[in-house]
Amino acid sequence: MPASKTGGSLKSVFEPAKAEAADAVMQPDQSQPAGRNRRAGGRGVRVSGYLPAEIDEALRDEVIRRTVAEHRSVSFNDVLCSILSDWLRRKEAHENC
Amino acid sequence: MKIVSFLGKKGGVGKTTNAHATAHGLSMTGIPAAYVLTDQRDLLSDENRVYTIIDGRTVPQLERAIASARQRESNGVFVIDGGGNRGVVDDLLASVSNVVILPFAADDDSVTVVNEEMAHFPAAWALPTNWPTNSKAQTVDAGYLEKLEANYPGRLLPFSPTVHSLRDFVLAQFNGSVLPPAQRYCRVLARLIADLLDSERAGDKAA
Repeated sequence: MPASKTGGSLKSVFEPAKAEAADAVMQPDQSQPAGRNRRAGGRGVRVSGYLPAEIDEALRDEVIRRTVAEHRSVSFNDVLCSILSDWLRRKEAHENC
Repeated sequence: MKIVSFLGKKGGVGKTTNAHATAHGLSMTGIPAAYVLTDQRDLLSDENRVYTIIDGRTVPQLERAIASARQRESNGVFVIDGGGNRGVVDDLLASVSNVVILPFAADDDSVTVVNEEMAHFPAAWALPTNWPTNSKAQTVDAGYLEKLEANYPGRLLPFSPTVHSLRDFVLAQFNGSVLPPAQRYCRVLARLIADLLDSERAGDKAA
């Protein structure tokens, strides 16, 4: 199914100043997806399936390490998302080589 | 085509749920309706729904959707879900809306915020949502309604009670079944919104 069911020509609907201000706010926050997920109550992040005990323990250690190092609240999801993002970046870099 | 926006900086007061309920209720009463998502959540599928879901998560998408809908002569309604904590986006949406609804819940924070927003949007309507059905709690919370009515006479809508099955609308997989209490809720809310749109239209003609 298409994301949007609308089409047609673009004509000015909004006042330019208001549209510009709103546009800045409505940009997806791609730099900190984990932070966004935490603010949204963890929505969109699902961890399902079995995590081996040593990985689970390592992830929880990393949560504590980052919380202390960064002086802010870091969730399990934040760490997991950040590790997965790094993995994807490395994978893409490897494929481009 | 008319636009109703559910706005407000406070999260968790029922903007999304009531926007879905309005779109559903309008469609059930024969008025074509679309729910427009404007914040950065995942776009829900409109499979099994009686209303359309439109992606308005960026300003160009939103502008294109509104421009396209305005090109067609239709009695349809766009129900825009403003998303929380974005004052400038609310300003933008209010500037193109025929009716602005500010939902609020029965708590101090929510009432303080809606009080400020009623001053900011002089044509907006305050909608008490998720209101207690317990008579003792209603007596306690009546103070909130009296305060708002005193500050903004005639701009307070009837309160809508807690209906848990409304949450089905925001599930990623909506199965199309809406329980009777939720059906009633949607019909009542849609009728209320349709009346506001009609009175706004009558006001336009009179002006």
